[in-house]
Amino acid sequence: MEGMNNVSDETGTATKGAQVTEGKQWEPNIVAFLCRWCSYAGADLAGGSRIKYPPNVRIIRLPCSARIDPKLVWRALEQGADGVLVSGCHPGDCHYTSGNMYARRRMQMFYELLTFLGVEPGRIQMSWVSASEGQKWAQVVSSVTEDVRKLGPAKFV
Amino acid sequence: MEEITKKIQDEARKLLTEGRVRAVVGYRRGWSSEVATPCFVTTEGGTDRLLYDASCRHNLAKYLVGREGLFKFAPTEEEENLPVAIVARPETQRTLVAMIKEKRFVRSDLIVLAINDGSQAGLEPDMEVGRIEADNKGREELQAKIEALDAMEPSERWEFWKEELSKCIRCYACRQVCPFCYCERCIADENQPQWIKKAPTTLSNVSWNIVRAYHLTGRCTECGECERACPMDIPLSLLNTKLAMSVEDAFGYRAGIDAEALPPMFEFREDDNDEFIL
Repeated sequence: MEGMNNVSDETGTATKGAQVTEGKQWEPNIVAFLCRWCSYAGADLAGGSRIKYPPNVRIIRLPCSARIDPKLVWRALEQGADGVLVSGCHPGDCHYTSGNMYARRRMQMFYELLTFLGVEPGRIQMSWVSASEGQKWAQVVSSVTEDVRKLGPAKFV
Repeated sequence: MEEITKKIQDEARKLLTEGRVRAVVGYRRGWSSEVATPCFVTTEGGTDRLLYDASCRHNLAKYLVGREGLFKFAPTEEEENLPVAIVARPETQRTLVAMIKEKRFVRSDLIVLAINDGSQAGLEPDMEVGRIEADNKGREELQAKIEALDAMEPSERWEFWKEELSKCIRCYACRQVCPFCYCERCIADENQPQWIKKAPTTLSNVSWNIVRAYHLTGRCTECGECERACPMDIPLSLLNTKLAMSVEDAFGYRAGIDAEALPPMFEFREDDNDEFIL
């Protein structure tokens, strides 16, 4: 029953989401929830500008960082993601005036809860990336990927 | 304790005789001499059943809200506009304050028969029916346990919670007893999409408990009813108190202490903590 959610082999490396085939080195699998106005556009700019960044991140676009319900974050981890990145507009830049400010409080308290439950702090991270910050997006992804790589595969079963 | 019982009975009798309330919510003797159970008195004759002793720990605010609560959303009959009297322990008083803030009812809907222990609540009781000793030891013990857990490695904490939460049988007693779980339809009962799997596997138990604890962020008044109701003795108060402590550290807010302040998840400040953000 336990294995239904998260198919793992004996070493705990092959998770459902990571799709790691045998013999290949483990690569962190990171889910990124981005607000469509700033961070998604920033990631788009990074792509358009051909800035190189690690391919470990799977992007999910949402209307606003305030739409990033903490249960989405936990669902990603539950389904086998090794890390989650949450990103929105800089304070004051929110398309909906203040969505990112609510998101900041929510995520702060959600970190506290997950950390208390034993999720390593680096697995969930939050960033502000604006539509013009393609370079920053690449840096954020690199640093998050490195952090998650150091932590190793998530084993939440 | 007997004086408190007598005072509650006298006040209840007076209120009901004068027709000032439609019901009195209090405690009565349960199935054994060591167990109390909530009771609802609507006639003068029923007031003899009311009592108060050390076994009366229930958070009676639960019986005011929700589908079966005494306060329906749109009262129609004339009688429904009469207030309800409630015997309120200190944590119940804090719960009432938080509920008024969440617009479940208004202060004038209530007549609060307060049992105080000297702790602060953002509510002026209509009358004090008794005084009890403050139970500071309980929270201090919890805080010590939380500090011990915080000092552990994350993997050790995960092992601890895995062990505890694997016991969960998903009876949802914690939800049914919680005064703040008054949603008409709980996310745990939803099938499409099914955010929380129904089978009581360890991982889905963690999901359920994350949702339960997180929904109480900045709302939980730490009455401890969830832990008392839990048939598997899962230390749910640890999660609730940890979040309450985090909220207090981060936003300087404690639920039910101040009748004016907005709950922390309902508002924001420009200069909220930004340190954890890349």
